[in-house]
Amino acid sequence: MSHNPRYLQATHNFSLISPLLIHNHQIPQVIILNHHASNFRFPTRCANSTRPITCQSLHNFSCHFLLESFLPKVHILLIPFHFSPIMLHSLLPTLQHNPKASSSAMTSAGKRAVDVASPSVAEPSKRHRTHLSPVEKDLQSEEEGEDQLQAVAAGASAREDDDSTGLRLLGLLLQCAECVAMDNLDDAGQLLPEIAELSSPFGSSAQRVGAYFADALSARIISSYLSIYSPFSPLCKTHHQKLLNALQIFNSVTPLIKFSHFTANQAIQQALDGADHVHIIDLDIMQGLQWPGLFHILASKSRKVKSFRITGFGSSADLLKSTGQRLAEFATALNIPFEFQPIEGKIGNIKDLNQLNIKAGETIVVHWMHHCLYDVSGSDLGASRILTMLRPKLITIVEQDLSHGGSFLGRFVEALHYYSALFDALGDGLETESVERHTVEQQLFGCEIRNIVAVGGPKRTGEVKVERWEDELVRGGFRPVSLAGNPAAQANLLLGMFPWQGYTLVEEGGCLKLGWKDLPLLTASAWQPCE
Amino acid sequence: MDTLFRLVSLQSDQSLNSSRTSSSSRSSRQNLYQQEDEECFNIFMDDEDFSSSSSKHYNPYPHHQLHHHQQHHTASNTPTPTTTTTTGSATPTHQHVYDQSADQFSYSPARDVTLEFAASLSGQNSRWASDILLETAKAIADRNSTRVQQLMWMLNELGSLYGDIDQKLASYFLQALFSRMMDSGERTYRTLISASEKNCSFDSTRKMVLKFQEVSPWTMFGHVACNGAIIEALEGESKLHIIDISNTFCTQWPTLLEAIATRSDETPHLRITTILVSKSGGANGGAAGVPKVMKEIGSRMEKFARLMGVPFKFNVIHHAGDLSELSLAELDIKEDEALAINCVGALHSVATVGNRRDLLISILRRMQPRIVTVVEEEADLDIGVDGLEFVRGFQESLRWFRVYFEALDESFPKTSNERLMLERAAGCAIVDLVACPQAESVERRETAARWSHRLQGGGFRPVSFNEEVSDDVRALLRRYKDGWSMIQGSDSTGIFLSWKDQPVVWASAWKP
Repeated sequence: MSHNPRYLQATHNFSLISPLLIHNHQIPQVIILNHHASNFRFPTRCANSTRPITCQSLHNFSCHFLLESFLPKVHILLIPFHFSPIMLHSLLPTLQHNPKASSSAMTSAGKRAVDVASPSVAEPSKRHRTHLSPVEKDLQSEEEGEDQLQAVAAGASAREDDDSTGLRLLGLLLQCAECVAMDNLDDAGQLLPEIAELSSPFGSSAQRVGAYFADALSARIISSYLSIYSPFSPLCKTHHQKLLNALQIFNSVTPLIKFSHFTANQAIQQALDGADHVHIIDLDIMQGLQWPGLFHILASKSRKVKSFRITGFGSSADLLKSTGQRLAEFATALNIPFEFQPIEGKIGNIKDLNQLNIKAGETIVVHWMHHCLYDVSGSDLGASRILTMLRPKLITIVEQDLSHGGSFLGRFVEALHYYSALFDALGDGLETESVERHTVEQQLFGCEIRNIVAVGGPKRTGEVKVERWEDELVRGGFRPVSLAGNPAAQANLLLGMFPWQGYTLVEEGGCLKLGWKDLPLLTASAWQPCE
Repeated sequence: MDTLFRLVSLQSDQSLNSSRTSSSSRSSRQNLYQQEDEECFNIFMDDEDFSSSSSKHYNPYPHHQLHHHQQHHTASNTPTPTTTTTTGSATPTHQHVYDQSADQFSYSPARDVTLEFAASLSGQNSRWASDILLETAKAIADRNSTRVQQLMWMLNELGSLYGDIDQKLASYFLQALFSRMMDSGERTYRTLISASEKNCSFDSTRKMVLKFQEVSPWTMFGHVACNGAIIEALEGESKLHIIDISNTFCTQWPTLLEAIATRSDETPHLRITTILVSKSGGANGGAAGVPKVMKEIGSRMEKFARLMGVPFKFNVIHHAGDLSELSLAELDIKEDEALAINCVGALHSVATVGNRRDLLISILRRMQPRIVTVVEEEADLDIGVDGLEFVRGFQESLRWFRVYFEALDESFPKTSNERLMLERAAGCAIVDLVACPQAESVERRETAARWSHRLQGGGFRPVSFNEEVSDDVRALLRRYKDGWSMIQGSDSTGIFLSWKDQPVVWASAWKP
């Protein structure tokens, strides 16, 4: 028999609260633990004498099973590591914004999520009895124990169900990911239908995140069975066109892409001061949306550049051609002597600097905006080697604040965290039914999540990814250029110009970090060769 | 905070790895648990799954350059059509796999399939999902497991449950084909059904059913036609009994109640007996959702009848097992009541094995109804078990579900949860059709011609719908977007709802 679960989120002092709960037979069915709650004690239910089970480390799986066998009715939801409250909160927005309302709902319905840190729920059982409505009292007298719980739960309002849906989803997703990590693909696959059923690409932020992570897990499981892990990217134009359309929408509904363009362009124009011959190498140019802005900056200066060349990497010759034409039109209109050099391919696969057609006297700037839509570099180590040999005047990089290292489970949890914030940010100001929102989520976020969750992700080549480009660049003889001055001011101006709220801009060690409610999403940095 | 984050993640990785190593029984992989890449190559495949497969020889990255073997490039989007020069990037794990595969393949096996469907994928009005899926079915029939594997890989990469129609078809059909390959169709089906019933509520069901009726005549078409025929057949009777075997949650009856309430003579007594069928196998999960919903529907129906002033009784009968095992004793049929039987989507829920469908028709005949109304979706989905039979049935399923998905797509707004629910239900049906044994199937639709043949063989004769009914249906269709029309069936057996010139739903009336 399945119960409508009651949840207990133990973020802090779990051991203090648990004996009380047990004593009052308020045994939660799901306990969410994280690393803060290590060494917690949980008396067994069967024995009246409290025999504490001490958990040495929550990362220990056997401990998980031990607890479950002692408390069969309690599902322990184990958060593998670094499960920050921010993530829970972005999955459970109502809990965060209105803790009072949610805890009183808990007591009246007898099934609400409890934040143990909140003092208002220290004695849930008493409230439970005093706040019952007549109907609930009837139910209570008629049915005992589990049946009572179920009946009360059935009467709970839809809004409360929304709340618990987020938690259930989160629990199931982690459980499923855990199965995948343990190579138990069969069990993982069996969990997916329920995850899918609870989630929806047109629902709350949590349901949306759930939908795409479930989709990604399903794709991973199938590809594991098939033993083919490589991504398939149809080389057709329609495919690229769809992606680029989605990017344009993304650009118009959040400040994230604009932030990247603005800060990088500011750093670039500073580095180009006094340069006559400019050569910009864009490692993934797409539509070249960034460069008209730089054209304007350069055109407005009194000292004009004598030549301006952009080398654009991309995977489709057609697309590169149209990008080149568009950029040339912009440049001509502004009287900039412009030349476009398309390279169909990836920087990491370049063997020899001659392919970049570098001319003497050129001031070279390399720009790279990271994402997980596809593999941009071809080979990170190859890319690093080229950059070291090239020694450009400036390298601008915009990275996602998402580490791809660690085990699958680590990557999964971190991505869940990251995309919860990103979905939340996108949903701010866009309707649940917004087609634009759906397009961005489905075409961009969904695709990235798939790649991250996939075997060998996010590049999906099995190749070792450079985890920290800052270290790699320092090793290659570069040093950071601070973006604290003009670029930071520009980024601030950008955020002020638009109606977006909730975005936060932080400067850290010369890098600029744009985040959503203090969770960094993008980091922009600039680098120059050490003298 | 960021640094702390990374630090914590590093520590826990170590503890995680150690616990995994100790708990894992896969000894062959234990020594590979060194860094992130261990999970890249979990070649996890039982020989039983693909009996003749040589899967372990596959290059896991058919598009990717093999680092330390001199291989051709497989993708054309690299600038230098020569080998990569990266060295030292391959971990021991890579070598392990590459060493195995590299000797077997001088180029990527997936290159062929990629090229094969290049045109299909780039076309403007492309139906790539149907093309690739059909080829997959053929490869399954041919037992060409290498090709099946590659085609499924493409479907997996291209499909998405939340994308366009082709992506959805690819995704739902891949799920079904995959279950079939793994021989886990019934289990997948049960899991899907129980997940959906677990989350099934009166509210969500009502919203879905009503929204579907609001944007598409798919179900309303049958309701209008059947109600018209039933009212005509029961004209003048004072006690009416309708046995309702349908999948439309009684949304058909309010208009009938209205019509009865406004009848010129005395308002008759009406009894509706709804039969809820749960498969014997589904007893574990099937108990939860739908009955709960039906209970709520029943009380609402009674309220509505009171409002209309119709003396009314509503009964739900739970029938476990196949509908062809229905016994007359369950139904409480009374001599003095005029009986109508309403079957909406009911006949195709009977398995095609044996002569169960004819058996059901003979049971209906024995009830001695004044009229039997039958609504069925117009498709021939009797998928064979194997070989050409399977391919032919699979192709027809593809056609049918494409029409269905297209009709949904054009009727609903782009971001609709109700549409998603209907699509998921269709996904279940696809698993039933493609991956489950015939004896368990509840989705094998037949064409109007075959149903007519069965009904006539069972002692029924067709009744034409009168002009009034036809007018009502036409009026109904005018309420919806363009593309819907009504076609008269040949041999005067019923009428069809058609969408963009494809008949999709058939409604007919029969008398003993």
